[in-house]
Amino acid sequence: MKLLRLLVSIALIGAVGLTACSKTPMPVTTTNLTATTPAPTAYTDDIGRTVQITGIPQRIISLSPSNTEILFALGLGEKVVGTDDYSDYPAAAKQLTHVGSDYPNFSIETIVSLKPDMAVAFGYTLPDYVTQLESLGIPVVVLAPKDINGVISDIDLIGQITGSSAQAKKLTTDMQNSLNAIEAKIKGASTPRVLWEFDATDPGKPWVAGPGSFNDVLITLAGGQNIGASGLTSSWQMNSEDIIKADPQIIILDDFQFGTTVDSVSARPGWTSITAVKENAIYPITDSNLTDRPGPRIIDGLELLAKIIHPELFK
Amino acid sequence: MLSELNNLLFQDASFSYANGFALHHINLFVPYGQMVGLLGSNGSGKTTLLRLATGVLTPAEGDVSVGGVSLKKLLRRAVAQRIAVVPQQFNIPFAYTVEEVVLLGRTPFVRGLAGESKRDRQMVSNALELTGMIGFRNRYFNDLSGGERQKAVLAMALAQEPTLLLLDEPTSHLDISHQVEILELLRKLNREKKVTVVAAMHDLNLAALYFERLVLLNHGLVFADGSPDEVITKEIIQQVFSATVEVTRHPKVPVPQIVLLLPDSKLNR
Amino acid sequence: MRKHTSAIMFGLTVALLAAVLVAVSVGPVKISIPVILKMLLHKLSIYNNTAGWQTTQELIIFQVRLPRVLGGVLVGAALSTAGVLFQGLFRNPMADPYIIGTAAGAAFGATLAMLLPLSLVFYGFGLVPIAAFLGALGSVVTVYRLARFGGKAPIVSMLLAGFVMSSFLVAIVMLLLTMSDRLGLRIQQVFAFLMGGISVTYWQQIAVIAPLVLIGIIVTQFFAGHLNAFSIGEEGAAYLGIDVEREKMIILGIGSLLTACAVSLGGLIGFVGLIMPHAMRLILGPDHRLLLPASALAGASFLVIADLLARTLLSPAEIPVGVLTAIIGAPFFIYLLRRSRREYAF
Repeated sequence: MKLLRLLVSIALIGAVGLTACSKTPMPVTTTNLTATTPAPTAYTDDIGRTVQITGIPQRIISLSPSNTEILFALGLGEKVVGTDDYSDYPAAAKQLTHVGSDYPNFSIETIVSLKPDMAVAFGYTLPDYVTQLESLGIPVVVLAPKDINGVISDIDLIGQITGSSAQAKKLTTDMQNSLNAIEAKIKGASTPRVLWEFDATDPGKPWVAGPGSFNDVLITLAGGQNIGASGLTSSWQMNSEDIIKADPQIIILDDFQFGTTVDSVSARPGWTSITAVKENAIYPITDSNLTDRPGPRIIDGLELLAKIIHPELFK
Repeated sequence: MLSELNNLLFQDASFSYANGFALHHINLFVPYGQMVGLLGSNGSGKTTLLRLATGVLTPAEGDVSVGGVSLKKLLRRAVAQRIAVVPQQFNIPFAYTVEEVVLLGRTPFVRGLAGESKRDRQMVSNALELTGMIGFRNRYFNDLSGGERQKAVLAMALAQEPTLLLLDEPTSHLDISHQVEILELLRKLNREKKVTVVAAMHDLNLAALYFERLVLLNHGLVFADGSPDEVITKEIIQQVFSATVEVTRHPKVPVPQIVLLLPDSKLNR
Repeated sequence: MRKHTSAIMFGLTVALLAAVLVAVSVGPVKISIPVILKMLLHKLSIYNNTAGWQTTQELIIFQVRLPRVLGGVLVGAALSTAGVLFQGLFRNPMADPYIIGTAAGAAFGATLAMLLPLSLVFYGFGLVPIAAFLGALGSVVTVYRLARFGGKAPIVSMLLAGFVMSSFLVAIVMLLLTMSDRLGLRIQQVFAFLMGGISVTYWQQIAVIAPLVLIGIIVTQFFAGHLNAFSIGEEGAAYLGIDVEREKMIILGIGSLLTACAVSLGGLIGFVGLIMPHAMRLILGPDHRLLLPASALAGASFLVIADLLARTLLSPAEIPVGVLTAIIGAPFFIYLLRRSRREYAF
């Protein structure tokens, strides 16, 4: 065994020695250095990384649809040079160059060829992409909001970085006002039990929104009570039996886009005893982008949800 | 080849496997140029003895030495340059040619990246000639018949230029003609090149015919050691092999030959 | 000596250089070969005219493509060589570099690293590849220790211990995956590692791995003759004067080191380590003195081409390279198998 370790150590020492003595690795060239470089400003993004950005970014890449919406809402549409494959709002975004997506993968080359001076990524982007882009001289800001306040502070952050703080203020104030209005309306009202269903490939054990998920936050803000909150993870499979026992008064079908119909839900064995089924309070989400994207339109999603949960309070 | 390097000496050597089987206090001296047949029933310790003789097993007690030097003191490489072994089982999962297999016999002599030298190739050719396998050199080893393979393996051992050649049952699984071929070859090597030969033998009659000295093992001990006449007796065979035989004389060669007597109800098993 | 060996070795070297050049010149951004060659010569300070290309092109070639292609060369060479070593040592044509638990160890290490919120960069390597490297080596050392008895580590015991180790570690990884959400583990990240894909961000990674792989390959060449001897069995090899236990340990050590290097750059890429040695054996014969260098060269070319196809066939989506190595490799191997006119005896 000593021989094995010895061999490895020799090889490692050799490698370290070689790296030290070898010619310096090819320098990383950046694409946005100007003749007189002002000092970069340090920003902290949502996952605690310090991002150094020099000046005001003029060529921005958005790596998620929610980021695209934020950028356009701040009036930065002209400065966005590329987006991920799924950015489809606003319509103008669809014309931009696509650079791939989290699944299956981004194309680093395409991103580089667009000569960006900043990229905005999302929380679930694989860290390898972030590292690689940074190593190529492209600063990456990662947004990972956990709730609507998080979205608001993200908008502020982007506003700060891009010199559009005034725009950001206006947008976030509007959002905050709408939020406050909704809060006021549902104050004191009852909190019906809500089931948010993600996937029912196995109708006996559908995937539901659990604690810590954005949907859970929305349900609460909209004046409801998420029956999936008893789970342990943000997305989990809840037994049909437990669902029947929890007796939701409202069922939100986030899997409508995958083909789950209202009728199929009522047809599930035992589900006819559920209040939501009896009262036909099963609501498919037709545009899940409103409720799934943590961007400016999340307020619209919240309003949609609030109307579903408390139709009597919102005409 | 120096004569002193041909001696094989077991001094009070003992060895036991984890399962309890053991060789006890083996005292054996094989002088230069002798041809010795090792006999014994299955499990008597023949293979173990051969392994001790090569140094792959180290005796728990006592010592085994070759040419006056204890095997414990010799590097494997040095041992392999003097002692060659023709093992009982031999299979190669890859498609080597006969020549490539015989070339393996030069392993103890080839250094590092050098590759084989002219001399190495010469030794390989010699070995192939001696064993009559020169025409097979480019054939695939795995394509050969049992007898041909045995000869190829023998050639590999010979390529090592050994002064001491150890064989573990070289003639089992072979037809009569091949058995004779191998033994004739061994005798020739022993007589002409003075290679010391120690071979574990299964067939008592062939052993008597070809080996000048026989060592009979029983339960891990040397039971008998001497000429064929001394070792192949009715009593000894009965005691060691539990077989009733009649010992006769070979019609042409002055050695004993056994003839098996059929058992009858008076015999104890 | 089999026929045409020098020609074949020369051909393999040329093929590798060609593969590298082609791979570097193909990508979503079109950059022509003459431009690439000019850039290369400029880097080597031979050519000084910097007109004719943009800095982004240079960035793409030298910071995005070349490190990845060189990563492919190293991983392919390392896996193929390790495959030859393990097949020769274990006398088992079904052996591959992952057989004694290196893959499971690497997966285990990588998954653990993905759980930890530590951010670490060591010579360009993040925590995950380092943990994968250490996991692979740690697993082999454990398997060796488990199999060792009375100063010897019999091959069969190692194979069994390796199997047990792999099963155990894989089970733990599976367990971690089922609890992924609770642990903050990204399944996609784990699968990206398991399916294999060359991931080289910094040149330093190449600078560290390249000498390890090269030294490993060169050192194994010294043992090539002895590997031939091993094919008659451990006992037979001992009779031929080989210090079996010592050399087994060395060869095992180098094979594992090469495999660990490969997983640190490319995750778990399968098939190459198993099939390249066989393919080369069918063409060149089983003599390890030829087999080792030839497999390294062929494996390198093969992986570079496979990686090229992996990132271009469904562009911009990337197929995991391990998937592609099996898809291309299998029919190619069957073709070789049928071409050899006799019954396959490896």
